[in-house]
Amino acid sequence: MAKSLKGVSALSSLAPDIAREPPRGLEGKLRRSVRWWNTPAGSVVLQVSSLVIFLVIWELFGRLPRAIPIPTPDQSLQAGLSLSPLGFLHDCLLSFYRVGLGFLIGAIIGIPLGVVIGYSPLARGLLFPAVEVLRPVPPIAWIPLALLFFPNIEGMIVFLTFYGAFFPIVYNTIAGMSGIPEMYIHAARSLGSGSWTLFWRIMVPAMLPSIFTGLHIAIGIAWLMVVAGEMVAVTGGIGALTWQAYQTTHYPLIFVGMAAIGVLGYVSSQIIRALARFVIRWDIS
Amino acid sequence: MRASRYSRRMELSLSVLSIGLLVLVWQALVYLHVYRFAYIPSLPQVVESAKDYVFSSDFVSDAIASAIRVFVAWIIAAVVAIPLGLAIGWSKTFSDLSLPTLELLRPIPPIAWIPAGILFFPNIEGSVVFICFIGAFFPILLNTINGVTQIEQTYFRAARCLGAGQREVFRDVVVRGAMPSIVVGLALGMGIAWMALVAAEMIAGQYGLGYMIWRAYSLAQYPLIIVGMVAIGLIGAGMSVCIRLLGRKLTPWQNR
Amino acid sequence: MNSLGVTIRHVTKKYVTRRDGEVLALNDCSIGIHPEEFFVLVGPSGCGKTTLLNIVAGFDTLTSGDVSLGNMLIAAQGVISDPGPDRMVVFQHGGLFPWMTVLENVCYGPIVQKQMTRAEACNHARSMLAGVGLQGIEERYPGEMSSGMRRRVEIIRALIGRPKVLLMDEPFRALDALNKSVVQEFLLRLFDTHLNTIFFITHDLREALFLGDRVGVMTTRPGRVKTIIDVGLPRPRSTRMLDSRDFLRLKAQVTEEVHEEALEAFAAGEREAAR
Repeated sequence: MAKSLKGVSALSSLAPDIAREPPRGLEGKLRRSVRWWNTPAGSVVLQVSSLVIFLVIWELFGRLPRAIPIPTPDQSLQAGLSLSPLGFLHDCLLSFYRVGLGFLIGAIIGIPLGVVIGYSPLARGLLFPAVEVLRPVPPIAWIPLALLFFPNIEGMIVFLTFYGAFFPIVYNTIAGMSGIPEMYIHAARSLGSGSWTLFWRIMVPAMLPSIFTGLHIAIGIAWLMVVAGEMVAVTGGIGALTWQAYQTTHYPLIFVGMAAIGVLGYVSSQIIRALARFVIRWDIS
Repeated sequence: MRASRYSRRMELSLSVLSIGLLVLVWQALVYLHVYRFAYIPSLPQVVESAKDYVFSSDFVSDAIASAIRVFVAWIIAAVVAIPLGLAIGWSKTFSDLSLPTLELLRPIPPIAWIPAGILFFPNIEGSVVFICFIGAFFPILLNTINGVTQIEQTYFRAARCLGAGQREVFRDVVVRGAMPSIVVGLALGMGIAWMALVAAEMIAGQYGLGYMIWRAYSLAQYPLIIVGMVAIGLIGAGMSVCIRLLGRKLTPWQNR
Repeated sequence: MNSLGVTIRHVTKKYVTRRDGEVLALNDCSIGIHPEEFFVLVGPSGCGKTTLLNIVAGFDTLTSGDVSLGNMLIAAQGVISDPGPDRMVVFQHGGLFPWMTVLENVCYGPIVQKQMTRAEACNHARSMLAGVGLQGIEERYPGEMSSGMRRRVEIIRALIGRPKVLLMDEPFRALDALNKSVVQEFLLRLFDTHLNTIFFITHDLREALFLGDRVGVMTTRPGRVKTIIDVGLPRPRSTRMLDSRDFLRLKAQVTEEVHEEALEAFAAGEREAAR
């Protein structure tokens, strides 16, 4: 088999002057000079300074002359440290418990409901419109009615949490059900699986990512509800603590409460994420 | 998963049936004094209350007050969050400088800001608008950032090859490419701002729909509570629809 | 005709990854592309063809060697020039802006480079599109069109700015067979009329021989240009040529060259997987 006519040194086919001369001079320009803030180390420095700038701005706000001065970071820290650890922990755990309970009830009711609605067109037609009609009303708006209905505050708060968690869970479960590729079902059927195995072995795992997305959103809303409920009906818990800090003019404590709420909210969504990673030990996407 | 086997008419009648059942169950529970449902207003009471309230000037002023607050807060949030998000998505340096602080503040829900809001803005209006602003700000910001970062590198390269400088790339690729995400963020932001509004008005407000519900509760005008809830739901939904329509205008290429 | 040739001289590219450490992607590549020539580079997947194209386009730096466009140096050690309209790229996965209509896409280059006013650019774009049978689609968005049509529009967008060299990175890879032959012929007709320099990358041998004046075969990673084959078929090309004896002989020759490399690439992949 004859090899190519020109061979590797295709340069010889060029105009001779270009082939012989060395590169003429640097007419290109350096595109990216690596500046210090683009390096990984520089990036960390910038991020840290971001937090520093934040604290400085906060401090400056605290020094504004106002009728009611805004607490400075330092004052907030002091206030936080002066809290009784046991009392604070109790508040945090109480809120956490309320969130957990409502969330759990929401999941226990919401997931099966979502599955049923997703699975059966009849159930969908019968149940879904009722759910859709209730959805636009924000959970917060239920507070007065819930206060009316539940004899004790605990029940009210847990109901609120449940209600807030309910809708994202249901909707994402439905989406999970309808998102199962027909292919999976057909494949399983043609392999001879019966309805029960089909459900547990094929459909449930396929739905899990969506369900966990719903759980993730729901935990965030559940926290919102707990904090709202506690602020309205001040009975212990971290939301109540924050509101009371305002009522009793212990203003620096407000920020402590806010920070605690933020941390607890973050921790709870991380818990859901970890649970998701544990349960879904494969990557469907 | 299973295509609906039902025709439109069937679906519609099922919907009516479904809602009807809901109302029926509600009425039954109230009339039969099941548990504490005796305290819940019944449908006729609600309708009666609605007739009085909806056509009164109070309703209009409450609704308008609420709507204006949410809207103003949402606009301010958009004006602040969209450029900020574009800058953060565009420049790593800027992201390094701003994102850590924002990520620190993000887990704090708007409701938790209420006491702080009242502290910052001693007047009610300011604090309520502030809470709604917080509610709208983070979804808009995060979605804008996401909108920029998910733009495929190919489009940047194509723009550079076509001769676009930094400014043109920003205007024609970054802003326009991020637009679908920005729209999603705006819709989400409005929804959360609305929820935050109701909370803020309930806890710290002087007028508006959220406050109205609370007042109805404290004045034992229980049927009015439900009227207020329905109004809140409807107006909130209406605003979402408006935002979505606006979104379609901004992203014509997604609809076709 | 303002096309220029591209000289790629002893280009080497190394980069560092976290997983594999230092990787040699290109090893002493040299190609001389004549002005107004249609040069095709083939090679197995992962051999570095796209890396080389990215270097020529200005998206990436090289470690040693240099690249010149005509007389002008465009890439050398530690130096790179920005991508620009003189080296327009047609991308593998489609580079048309989804948020602009066809007309806006095609006009974009001339307008942004301030070569023409908006009105002039629109008119020019319309006539170019009409000239290749694509009239009537100006107000459509890329998402509304078939992939074959998108490709054609992208090629028009690339050519409207009269680039000195057109760089095409496996542009027809994602098209199905029917669309592919339509767009290939489309490109050939344009090449006949516009005679730009084209640097085309593909893994499809048939396509390479059908389109190109000369075909370069690249080795597996680290890539090096192994052989350059003169296609020598007359222009204008037609699909009938695909059955001619000359074509089949060429195809066999190139297949053999690439096959060796493909086997090597496969074995290298196995070695890496085993690590």
